[in-house]
Amino acid sequence: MISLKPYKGTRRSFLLLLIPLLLFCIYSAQLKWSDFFPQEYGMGLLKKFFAAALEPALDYQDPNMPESAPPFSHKIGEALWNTLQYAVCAISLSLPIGLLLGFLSSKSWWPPRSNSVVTRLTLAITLRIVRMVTTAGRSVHEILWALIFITALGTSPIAVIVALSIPYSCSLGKVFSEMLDEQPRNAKAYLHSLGGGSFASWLYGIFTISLTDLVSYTLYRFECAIRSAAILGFVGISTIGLHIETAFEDNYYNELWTLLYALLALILVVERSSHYIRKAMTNYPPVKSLPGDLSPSALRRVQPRRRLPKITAIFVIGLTSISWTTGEPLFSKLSWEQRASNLERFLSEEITPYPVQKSGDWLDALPWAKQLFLEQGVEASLQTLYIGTAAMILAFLVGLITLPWSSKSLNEEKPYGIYAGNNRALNLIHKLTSLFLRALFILCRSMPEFLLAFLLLQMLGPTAWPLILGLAIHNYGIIGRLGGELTDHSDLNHSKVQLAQGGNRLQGYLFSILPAYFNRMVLYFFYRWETCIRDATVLGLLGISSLGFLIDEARARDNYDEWFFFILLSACIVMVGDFASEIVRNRLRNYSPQS
Amino acid sequence: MFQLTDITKSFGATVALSNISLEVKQGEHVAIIGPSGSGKTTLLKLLNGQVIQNSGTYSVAESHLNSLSNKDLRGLRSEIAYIPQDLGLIPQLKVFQNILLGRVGKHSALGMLSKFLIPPRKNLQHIFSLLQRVGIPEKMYHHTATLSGGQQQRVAVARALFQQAHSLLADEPISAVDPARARSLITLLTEIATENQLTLVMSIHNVKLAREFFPRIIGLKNGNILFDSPKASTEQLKELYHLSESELVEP
Repeated sequence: MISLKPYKGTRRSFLLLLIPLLLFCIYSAQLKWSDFFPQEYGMGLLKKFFAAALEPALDYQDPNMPESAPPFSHKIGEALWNTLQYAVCAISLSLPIGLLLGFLSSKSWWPPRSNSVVTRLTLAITLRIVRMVTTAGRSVHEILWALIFITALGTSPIAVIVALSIPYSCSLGKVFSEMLDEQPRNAKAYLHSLGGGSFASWLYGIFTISLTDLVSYTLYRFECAIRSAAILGFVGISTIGLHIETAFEDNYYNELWTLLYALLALILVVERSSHYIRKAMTNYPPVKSLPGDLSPSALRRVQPRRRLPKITAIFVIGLTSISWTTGEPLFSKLSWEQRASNLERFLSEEITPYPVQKSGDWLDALPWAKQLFLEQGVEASLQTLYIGTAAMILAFLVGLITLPWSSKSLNEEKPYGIYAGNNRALNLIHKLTSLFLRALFILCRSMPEFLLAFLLLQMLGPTAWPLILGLAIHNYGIIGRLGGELTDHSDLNHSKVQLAQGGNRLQGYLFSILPAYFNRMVLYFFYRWETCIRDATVLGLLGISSLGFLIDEARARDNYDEWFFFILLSACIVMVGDFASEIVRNRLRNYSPQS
Repeated sequence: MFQLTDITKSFGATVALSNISLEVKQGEHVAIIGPSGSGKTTLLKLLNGQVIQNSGTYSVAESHLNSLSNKDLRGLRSEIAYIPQDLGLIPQLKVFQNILLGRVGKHSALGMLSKFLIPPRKNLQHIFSLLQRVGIPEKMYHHTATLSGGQQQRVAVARALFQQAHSLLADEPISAVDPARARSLITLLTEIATENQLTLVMSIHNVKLAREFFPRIIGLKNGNILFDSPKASTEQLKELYHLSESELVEP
């Protein structure tokens, strides 16, 4: 029977709802439109700052630099190497832990019919516990983990590395488990039918298939780790962020630009290499011509080989061993006794709520927490939520609008291989716009949001706008990439049909790609929204009222009990965001026609 | 070899096999035909011990499946080669690696890993000769995903042979290929089964090929055995594929 259900237009409603929601967030965050534009002072700074972009410094700008100072290039090189070193150490520590967490929180290796109830129950309980641990680990931002470790143990490289590794292991674990669970199960079922054990069937039937995805995500996290390591400089670790901050404070803009270009170059090199490694892993190497005599050894000699992943593996092992062994000793400065006494003081005195320190009764912490929460916590949490949400909506909407122009296969001379006229100028415009936008996406997502917010803050003045814009710019780049994967790599026969019927490129996007992949896009929206909330909790460290600000302020006052309380509050906000996004994403996944 | 007595298997309210009794002797070649949803796949899965009956008894070479320990069940399965409809190949792996996995049931997880990473020369020689037998020796070191559909079927056959089992079960192995390739694959499978004295049970949609290549044909409909004879007669086939009123749709 033909159904005549009233047309509900969920997609349109969702998009239209985002605009009032954006306005609401901006209004509630008490932002004025006029603050969006730089004031007179900011304008001057802006001009000076961008003028310096064309002339990055090749030597120290400080005229009073002593002769004995190391050459400028050494300083840049060292700042970059320190950043890279922290990222490599953190990721190499996170990867095995992430794999273990991912394995334990995945159902893909469970035996199909377990004989005993006890086994089933044990598996289910383990899964719950591991998932809780990964959520908790991720909910505290790596900067906050670093602050906690530095405060509790004293500054040392290993503390920073461990601090970075905690949220990274948990993120890897979570995404790994999702990747393992989403693989087709037929190969595993088959191996099982041959008498393969649960683990062996999983290893060959699921793990081998997911390997490309796992490597690809690890490379992406490595890129993120470089960004995280860079911004750790803002809390005093000797990475490139520290130099950027001081260069700015000293008004050495040319030096600043050199540092920015260097950081960008490092991230771009990693980004591009992971792009090629991914490509090499998903594409199959070409087949060589056959040998004269067919024998296993002769065939083996001409077998198609993948060189890039192997070379990369050797390079990665080398880089990792150098990173762990060179430079500052990992456990510098402090003895273990000092460290232990630091930790004891941290736990028993500093973070213990003030009333409890006095009375020794933990019940006294309740009114204290309630007061902190109601007087400052609620407002700051809401502010954090508004900033994160506004940034994500902005990034998403601008992303949706620019997506058809950035698509490699749509905004092209022959969209999806279909001849579309031979106007040379027009064809060139198509090519150039898509190239430009894709370069813009890479540039936007390469810049750490914290750094963007820091720079914008100086130009636009102390409002929440720079935080929103910094987050939005970074996430715009990510939405561009994720959206690009949908418009370029999916099976888009319906889009081809529209073009073949005489539709233009924009119609192909609006009436075919957008409706077909809308759920997927919304899925990405919520995935990034969750991350935006997490990042918004630390952007306040830059001095704008939100949770990060309260954390920073409590530390400045040496009130570590309040400091710790607000960190916990930030973790709660992130977990609530995570939970909400999880529910929506699960529902979307079930409705999505693609999955 | 396979002995089924009064087997009933249902999934929830759906009865897939109802009260089936059947015996397949060592070395016999049997084709199972019948319309979609008649229980062919369930029957093959039951023979492989992937599903267990609700009632009745089933034994393979004298051992009853529901009385076996986990380990013995695995051992029993490792003696029965099975080619599923989707072939169950891992596209990311090379051809010889997929074939090596045919013996996954005969090794421990670690033992398999060592064979997988450093394949012994003896195994490689064996795999090469099997690939020669199925006609694609040159593909030995190629990635499985780069092979055509017909070549992948041959890899699946080679993998089943490498398993060195006593029986071979195949679930509609020719459903996705053109008529010429279908014929050559059935020829290959029946020849190989004869050469290696394998018991061959295959479900198949193509009645013509079933009649031509199999000395015994079982007609399955709604989970019941409609006939079990050397040659399916025209009347029997008419009844087998006869559509009920509700299935007839006006064009």
